Parts: sequence; structure tokens; C-alpha cells
Amino acid sequence: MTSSQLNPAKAASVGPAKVDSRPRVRVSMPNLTGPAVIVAFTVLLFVLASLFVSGFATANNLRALFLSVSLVGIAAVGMSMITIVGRMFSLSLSAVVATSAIIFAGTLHLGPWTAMGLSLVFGALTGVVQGVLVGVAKTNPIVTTIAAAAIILGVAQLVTGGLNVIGQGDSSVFASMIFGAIPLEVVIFVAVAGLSAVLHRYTTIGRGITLIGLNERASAVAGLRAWPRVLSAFVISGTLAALAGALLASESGQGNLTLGASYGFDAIIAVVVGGISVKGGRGNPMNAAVGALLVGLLANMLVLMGLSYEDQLIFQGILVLIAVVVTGATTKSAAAGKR
Amino acid sequence: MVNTYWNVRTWIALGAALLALIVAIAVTPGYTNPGNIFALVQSFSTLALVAGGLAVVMIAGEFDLSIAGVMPLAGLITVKVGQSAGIAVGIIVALIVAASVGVLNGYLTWRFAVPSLAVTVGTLVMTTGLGYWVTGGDVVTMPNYQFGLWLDSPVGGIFSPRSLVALVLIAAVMLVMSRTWFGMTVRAVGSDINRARFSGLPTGRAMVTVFIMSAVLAGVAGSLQALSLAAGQPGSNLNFLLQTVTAAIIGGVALSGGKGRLSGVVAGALLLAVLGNAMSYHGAPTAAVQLVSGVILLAILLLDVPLDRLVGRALEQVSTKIEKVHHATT
Repeated sequence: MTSSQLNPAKAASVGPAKVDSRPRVRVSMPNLTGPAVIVAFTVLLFVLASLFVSGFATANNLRALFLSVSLVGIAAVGMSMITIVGRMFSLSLSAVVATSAIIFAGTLHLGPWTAMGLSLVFGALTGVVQGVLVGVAKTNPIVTTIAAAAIILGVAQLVTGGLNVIGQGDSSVFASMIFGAIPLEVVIFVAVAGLSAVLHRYTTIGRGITLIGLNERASAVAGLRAWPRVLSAFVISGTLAALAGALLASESGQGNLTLGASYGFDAIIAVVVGGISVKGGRGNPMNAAVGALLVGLLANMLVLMGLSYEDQLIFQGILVLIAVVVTGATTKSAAAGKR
Repeated sequence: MVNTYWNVRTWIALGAALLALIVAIAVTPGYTNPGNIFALVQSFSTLALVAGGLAVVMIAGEFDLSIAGVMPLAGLITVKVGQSAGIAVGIIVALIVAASVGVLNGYLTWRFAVPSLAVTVGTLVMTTGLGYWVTGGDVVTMPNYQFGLWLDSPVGGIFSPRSLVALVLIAAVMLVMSRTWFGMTVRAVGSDINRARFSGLPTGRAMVTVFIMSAVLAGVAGSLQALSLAAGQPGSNLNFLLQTVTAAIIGGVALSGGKGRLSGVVAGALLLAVLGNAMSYHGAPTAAVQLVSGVILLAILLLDVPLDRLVGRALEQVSTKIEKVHHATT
């Protein structure tokens, strides 16, 4: 083990002669690495796919691609809030998706909008409970959300008896096409991602969430309490997970416990692949949306190129490892004190 | 100062497990018949084995989600390879694959100082994919179920070769963690990796080793389970992950690392095994068992911080008092 490995902070600050060059590096590094690279890579991949993969650049395939990405994307945007506020991930996300899908289907007879509203309220409530636990009681987010997932799924299973809930009503409102070509779900996804990005960048609460994720101690010294921001991150995440679940249920008019089971990890993958630092504070919700798009794009390409579901999972796993290492390595010097 | 609360937690876990056992025996007629105790030991030993591996990683201050993928994968490989090349080869190949997942987890976590949670999410997805890839998405079965029958045949009334292997392994891991330098190193890495590094401890080796341990133990459990069922199914075993995490947390292993003992984890596994066994004995659905584990986990999380503070404050008072007395006498 060399001395620079022993102490990265020391190695970075050797020699006063470097002082003039350091600010430039500091400023330009975050722009060049991490999220920006992912965006560039996604665009590049998109262009390459359009040029070389036959059957990719058709209206139907693109619509299918965006449709497959949008629900996971909505959930991932919500999840990114928790990651940015420095609370890692929520492992209860897929439980919330499945349960809100059941609630949507179960209350569909009251009308699609009421059902949607009730699902969202449920999602927000799960967020409130977990947010209070993690934010106020300062419990570990991973274990809290694991426990919450067990409780939510346990209750849902006891209530539904593990059966499929078939909605009595018409949910086609959510399946409509905007301008006759763009599915509503895609529009909602883009709107959610855009609004979250604005919230993250231009509002006090968004800035607070980022600061807490970056350096909780410093923000506490600055008089910024962590728990309201952690709570709001969890509420946003829960609500968006419920939105994804309700939209998922609206596709078929039914809900069951296995619906959206993969969303939890898909959302985590999107967040990580999008280049959002798992240590908190770096990246914004739009990156999660891009991450979801990248994973979906890759999956779509691989399918068109004739790879199966299982091969895709392996690719996704490798993609996550690469993304984790790349974002980890680029933010390492800044976060070295944290480790 | 060494925090005594986390040492007390081991005993709390043990007490709770024994209490649960006594209550279960008291309210359930026929609970102590050998058949039921045999089933209890079967589920307890597997849970303790995997939870022990996870606990070692948690003591090192990291987390391993990928055991939920490694466990089924090891089972699939054992069955698939064991069918053609013999069971011993199957087990060895499965364990080698499990160990290499552990190496990957440990190396990436240590080398790039990234949270192991994110790394192991990646390997979880990857191992799940590998599982589907190995089997082509189907359930694989092994025509030779004699070995599986032997694995689950009763030994001494309440044990079986399967549970004995698991119990011996967990005892070995307990010994390694409490009696060797390696155990001390892991604890030091978990308390403060930078200080451990400056003290000249081999942090990288320790980090890789703990992930290998958890992956291999999960691999052994998955392998034995698949052999005894003579079948394997691709997918990820998240329910079991919940149980192992719960067992480790009940046992007093803190997620912040450096704290907790494996004896507590074994007690936590016993508590969960007794609960699950007793509840299903009374005809409760699996969902109810899951619900109860979730509630227990949450309750412990909520109690930990205030209890820790309470014990810490009480100890501080005691120690200042002792100091005062000490000053007064000298």
C-alpha cells in the first residue's frame, strides 16, 4: 500500500505550487464527470442505436421504450430525493408500488381520480411514517425501510389474502394519448422529472435537501434542521412510488402484490446509474430520470439485438457496478473525510 | 470508551429468545415433540448461518444485500453442476462462485470507498441474472434426491447433517470473530476504518475477507437448501434477507459497525426461528410471520437510540462518581 493510498487527503494537498491550478480543477471536475458523462453516454447510445440497431428508430419502438421507462422513472425520481438527502435508498419502494396499485384497483369504483387520490395519500402516509422514523428518531434508513416493507406487504397480504384485486370501473383516463401520439404516462414522467428538478434546484427546500446530503454537520451548524428535509424527501418518494403504482394498476385495472415487484431495485439502479452519489448531496432528480432512460434504452437495444431477460439482468448488474465505481471514484477526494 | 449497552444487547437478545422459547412451549401443547424441535433446529441453523455471515460484514461497518442473490445462485449451480459432475464438484463450484462475488463486493467497496450497499445492489442484480442465465429461467431439479434425503435425515433425534454442518460452521465463525486477530481487525475496521488503516491494520484484506465470508456462508446455506429440496429456482430471496437482517439487528449488531457479537446474532436467529415455528404451528399465515418480524425490527430500531443514550448516561454518572471517590481518597 503506497502512502498516497494511505492518505488521499494528504496526497491531494501536497505542494503550495499547485494552489492556482486547484480551483479550476475543482470547478470543472463535477461538470465533466459523473452525471454529465451519463447524459452524454445516453445521448451517444441513443444516436448509435438509431443508426445501427434495426427497428430501433421507429415510432412504435420509441413509444414502447418511453412507456416502459416512465413508471420506473417516476419511482426513481422519488427515490433520488432520499439518496440526495443522504439517506441511501428506500427498500420499501416496491411494497408501496404494489400496495398503492391494490388500493387504486380496490377503489376504482369511486372513479379514477378518487382512486388516484387515495393511492397518493397512502403513498404520502408511508413516506410520513418512514420519514419521521428516519428523520426524527434517527433510525437507519435501510433497516427502517426493510422493516416498513415487511409490515406493508404483510398487512396487504392479510387484507387481500394474496389475491388479485380487480377494479370495478374505468381507468382509461390514464391511458389516453396526448396529441394522439404521446402516452399520458410519458407526459406525467417528464412533468414529474422536470418539477422535481426545479424543486431541487430553485427552491429553499430543495437546496436544504442537497446541503443536508452534502454535509449534515455543517448544515446543522448553519441552523438547518435535518428532519424536516428528510421527512419531505421521504414524502415525495412515497407519493411518487404510489403514483407509479396507481398508473401501473390503471393499465390493467387490477392490482396485486407482485405488481411492480422489480420497481424497487430498478429505481435504485436508475439512481445509481444516473450518477447520483450514494453518499448524498451530489446529483439531481433529473439524473435519476436519465438513469432510468439509460437502463431502459440499453434493455430495449439488447432485446432488439436478440438478448434475453436474463442476459439483461447481468448487464444491468455490471452497469450498476461501473456506475458506482465511476461516481465513487470521481467524488472520492471531496468525500474522503466522510469515509 | 467501550459502549457497554451493545454488550448488554447480546444478553437481551439471548433472554428474549429463551423467553420466546418458554412461552412457545407453554402455550403450545406438543411443541417439544422431537419432530417439531427437529424442524425448529433446521430453520434456525440455516438462518443463523446466513445471519452470522451478514453480521460479520455489519461489524465491519458494511452491508451485503447480495446474499439474497448469492443464496439461490449457489443452490442453482450446485444442482445444475451436481447433476452432471457429481455433488461434491457442484458444491465446490457453487462456493467458488459465491466467494468470487464476495471478492468483487469487498474489493470494490474498499478500493473505491463507495458504500457497500450500492455495490451489493449491483452484485445482487448480477447474481440474480446469473441465476436465470444458468438455468435458462426454469426451475432445475435433480433426479438424484438420495443425497438430499440423507442431508435431512435425523441425527440424534433433533439434528440432521444439514443443520450440523450449519451449526459447526457458525461456531467456527464465532470463534474466529471472538478469539483471533482477524476478529479484532474486523471490529477495528468497523469502528473507524481510517484509524485502523493508520494503525497499520490490513483493512483491505479484512474488507475482502468479510465479504467472502458472508457470500460463502450464504452460498453454503443456499447449496444445502437446494440439495435437500433437490431443486433450485432462479430469483432473489429477499424474504430471507429480511429475516437475516432482523436476526443480526436483534442480536445487537449496529449498522454503524464495530459493535455486536455473533452470539447475539445466533440468539436473534433463534428468536425468529421460534417465532416463525410457533406461529405456523398455530396456523398463522406466512404474511403474519413477516409482519411480526417487521414490527420487531422496527421496535428495536426505535428503542436502540434512547436505550443507548440512557445506558451511556448512567455509566457516565457512575464513572464520574468513581472518579470523585478516587480523587477524594488520594
